[in-house]
Order: sequence, then structure tokens, then C-alpha cells
Amino acid sequence: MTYTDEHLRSYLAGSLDSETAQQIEADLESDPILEQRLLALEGLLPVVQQGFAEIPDADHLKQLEDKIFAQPTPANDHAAAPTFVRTWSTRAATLVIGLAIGTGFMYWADDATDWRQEVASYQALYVKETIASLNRSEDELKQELAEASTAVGQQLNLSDLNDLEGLKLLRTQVLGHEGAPLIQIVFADPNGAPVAFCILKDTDAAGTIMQSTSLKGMASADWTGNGYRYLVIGGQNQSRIDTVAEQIHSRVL
Amino acid sequence: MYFGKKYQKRFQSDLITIMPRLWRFALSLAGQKDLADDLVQATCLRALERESQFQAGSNFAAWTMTICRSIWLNEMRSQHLRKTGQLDTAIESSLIDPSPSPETNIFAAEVFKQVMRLPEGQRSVVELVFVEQFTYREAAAILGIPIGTVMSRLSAARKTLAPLKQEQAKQMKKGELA
Repeated sequence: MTYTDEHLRSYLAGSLDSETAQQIEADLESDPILEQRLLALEGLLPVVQQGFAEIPDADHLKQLEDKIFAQPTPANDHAAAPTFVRTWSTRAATLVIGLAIGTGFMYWADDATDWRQEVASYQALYVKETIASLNRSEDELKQELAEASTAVGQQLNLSDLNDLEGLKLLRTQVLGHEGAPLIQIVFADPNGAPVAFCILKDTDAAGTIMQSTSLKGMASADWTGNGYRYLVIGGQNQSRIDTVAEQIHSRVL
Repeated sequence: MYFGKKYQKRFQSDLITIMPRLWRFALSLAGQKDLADDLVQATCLRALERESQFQAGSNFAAWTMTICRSIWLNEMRSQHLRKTGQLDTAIESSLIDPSPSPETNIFAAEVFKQVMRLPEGQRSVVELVFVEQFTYREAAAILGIPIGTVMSRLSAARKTLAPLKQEQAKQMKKGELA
């Protein structure tokens, strides 16, 4: 059937008889020219476009874009493409102080700009024997967590660190990175191999979603939120690390 | 919660290019700014995961919006419903700041508000066809509905929004006289 512009205008205005209106809708299924003619007559189109001309707000969109695409990825992990890594690269990374394992602060840093790489370098030195002799009582573990909570400014509970894919909590240390407190919580996996959950205070950090990455040959998952950076790292079982990270994320953040 | 896979720069750049359109569509589905943000974020990550499924030469915006619609209907909408008990989401009317005095801004804000007050089904069709300028057929494909449903939703929306057309005509007349 051939329709005049008058037919089509009446259709758009809702004043066409129902039989012809139904015929138009049926013909639209197979008639792209009819579709184009109707669209050209849509009088509301420029009106509605005016209402959305400033939507979304450019600043808001930029923030969202940064949030989504600031994730470190296997492809850009070392190239430091993510926003937060670029931010970190602007900071001085020169402080190298020795170890004070157990009770004090331990600072370490080198020219690397990504804290995860530095943590990974440290974690890579851990072997089964490193943690085999760690045997804290529940009270000692609670005490260490309390001290870590105070140092980093985030409440860490023993209950949040239990039932994590068979991991056994062994020790919590207060470390430091570029002057900021860094908490290292050490676990043994079911085979006795070391796994660590680390928290770095960084009030400037933009929130990022969880990202799984291989660091120094170890499985890891990290995310950022509420002014903290988080990293779970250890072993080669990425699936377990991802699950542990998800569980911790749901309890801690 | 999402875990990144292989992000390709080109693909990421394409996503950034269409993000304003994707965000508007997400807003039309979700009705709220924060939900739209979450929806866009989930959509981008899902698109990156499924990069290999995108057929070169096909409509990238439409492909992405189809993912967006799927995530909204299958994952986020039901969660939101469980949380709030509301079938349709609350309308956020503060996205356009009506404070700047030019009448055109006030009118734009009013148009936006009226569109956002439409039921979700009408809102998303109006956004796709009138704002993003997809054809009826493309809008139907993105939303996974028959073209007849697109036309009936548009018909209902036209009736609600018709006064805006008259208002715009009045404004234009004023502008010409001024």
C-alpha cells in the first residue's frame, strides 16, 4: 500500500484509523523506505534531542571513564598505562630502609612505581620454609590485627580472615611504602605455600574494580576503594586467589 | 565483581567514543544516575570480555547497547527490584541543572524530566529512536522486542510528550519576535 505524508503524519499523531495504522506497522517490518519516511516526520525528535543535548555531563563521564579504564591489565601492566599507575609514577620512590620484621615498620622501595610490583618482589622471596615456623595463637593474631588496624586506619577482624578457601592465617605485619602504612597479612594455603593479603593506605586512590594479574609469576588480584589499595597474591592458582579476593572484598570493603 | 582479561587499546578507544550514547541508554533503562554508572561499567567490562564476538563492520554502538540491555534485564534490574521493591526506578531530575537562566536550558531540563518520567519501556525506545537516532528496526533489535512493540511504545510516548512540541513552537515564536 502507498501512504501519503498525510497518512504518516496522522499515524504519528495517533489520529489515523486503526486499520490503516496496523497496516503501516505491518509494512514497517519489510519496508525500510517507509521507516525512513516516518522517521523524517517524527516532530518530537528535535525536541527530545534538545533535552538530552547536555547529557551526560562531560566531567562525570570522564570520571566514569577513568574508573572503568584505569584498571591495570596484562597488556599494560608493565607499561604503566593505568591512571593510578601513572599517578604513582609521579611520586618519589627512593626510600629504602631495612627490615624490622614482626613488631616495627619495614620500608622498602626502589625505582619501581607500582606498589604491587614491589609487594610481588617481596612476596616472591617467601617459600614454604619461611612461614613453616609461624604459629601465632588466636590472641596474638588478634593483637597483631589490632595494631595493624590502628596503623592503617581500617578495622581488620579475625573473623573476616577465616574460611578463605582453606587458607590459614599466620601473621600480620605493619610495613610501609613511600611513607604510607602497608599491611601484610600472611596465610598458608592448604599445601603450606605462602599467600598474602596486603593493604596500602592511599587516600588519593580512585576506586577501581577487581583485576586479576600475574605478578612475578604469582597469581594476584587487586582493587582499590575508600582510600585503600588491596592486593591478594601468592602461588599459581589464579582461581583460588580470585575467590579469596572476592571473599575478602565482600567482608573488608 | 569483575576481573579483567585482555584489553585491546583500539577496542577500548571505541568504547570510550560511544560512552556518552551508552550512558544515556543506560540511564533510560535504569532511571538513576548511579545505576546508569554501574550499568555502563558492567557493560564495558562485558564488552571487553566478549571482544572476539564482535563482528567487524557491524554496528558497534548497537552491539554494546544490546549487552547493556541484557545486563540490566538479567542482572541489575531484578537486584534493584529486590532491594527497593519498586518496579520502575525513581526518576532523577537533577541531571540537568535548571538554574542557568536562559529559557532554552529550562526548556531542555523540562524535556529531559518529562522523558525520564515515562515508563521504562517507553523511555528506552524514545532514547534510542529520538536521541540516538536508531531506526525503529534497530531499536527493536537492541531491546529484543518486535517492531510493533516499538511503535506502540512510541505512540504512547508521543501522546505524553506532545505538549513539549507545542511549547517548543511557542519558544521559537518568542525567539523570532525578540
